[in-house]
Amino acid sequence: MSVSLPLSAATASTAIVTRPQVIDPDRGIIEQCLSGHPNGFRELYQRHQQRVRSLLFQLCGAVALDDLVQEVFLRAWKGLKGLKHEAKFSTWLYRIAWNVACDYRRQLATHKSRHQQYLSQSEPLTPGLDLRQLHYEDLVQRGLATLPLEYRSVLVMHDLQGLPQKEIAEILQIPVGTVKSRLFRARSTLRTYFTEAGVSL
Amino acid sequence: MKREPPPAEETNLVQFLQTYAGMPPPPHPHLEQRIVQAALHQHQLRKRRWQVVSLLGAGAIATATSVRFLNPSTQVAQQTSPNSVETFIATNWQAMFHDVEPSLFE
Repeated sequence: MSVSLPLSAATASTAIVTRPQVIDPDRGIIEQCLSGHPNGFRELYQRHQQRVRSLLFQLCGAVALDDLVQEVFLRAWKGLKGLKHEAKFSTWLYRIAWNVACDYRRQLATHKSRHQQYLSQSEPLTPGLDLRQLHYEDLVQRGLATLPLEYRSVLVMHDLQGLPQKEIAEILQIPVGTVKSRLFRARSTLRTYFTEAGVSL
Repeated sequence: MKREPPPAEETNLVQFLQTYAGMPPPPHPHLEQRIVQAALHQHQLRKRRWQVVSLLGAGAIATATSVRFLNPSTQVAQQTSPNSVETFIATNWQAMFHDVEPSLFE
């Protein structure tokens, strides 16, 4: 399936304007990329694809995952020249992933019935596992789906991806206080959902 | 910089989420190649576009220059009085014979 999404990498590249440059472990590879070295971009992909993939999976599901990952890295490639190193590359890449996820979900809202059709055809999350595991995985996915995207993204980035609150604030361009309050609300909503589903934590 | 640990009352919830969040399905075997190829293709397209733009720019500059400098300037005929034409012809005629070396006529 091919997904056409509007370009918003530029907004990500100009997100943080007035801050000093940060020490970025990816800087050397980025410079290789910009000098036209094809393996540089491959290395960047290999370094970050797992986390980007995991984030997109938790935010958008598995249906169009490969297309979304491709979209993120192509937007990153396009915006690489304008990268100012005022934030880490990974933060910038997460910001692009967030934009792609938002665009995808917006698109999805207009083609909801088509998505439902895909979902009904999709395979279970982790094939070959026992029923209890599958049940809980399904429960977590349903619980996450009940959260608004703003809360869901903060919870996924913090509790599942292990990002610190400060970095999440940079990615989403919101104050750290807002990250904390969204995290608190997301957790309490999920706790209520799980309790109602018979899982006490 | 590391993630802040969850409060004690949230530890179970966070552990539950981490255990049962599920793993993303493995990528298509050619996804990496597809992405790198697409990026390289974009890079080449952008390069070619710049080449075309710079060629067009150079062409435009060359055309403008040639129009400015190579075009013959228009000569405007000046109406002169019949007397001055007569004087001009006479002067030139005489000058022809005065400038020539005398030995040529000998």
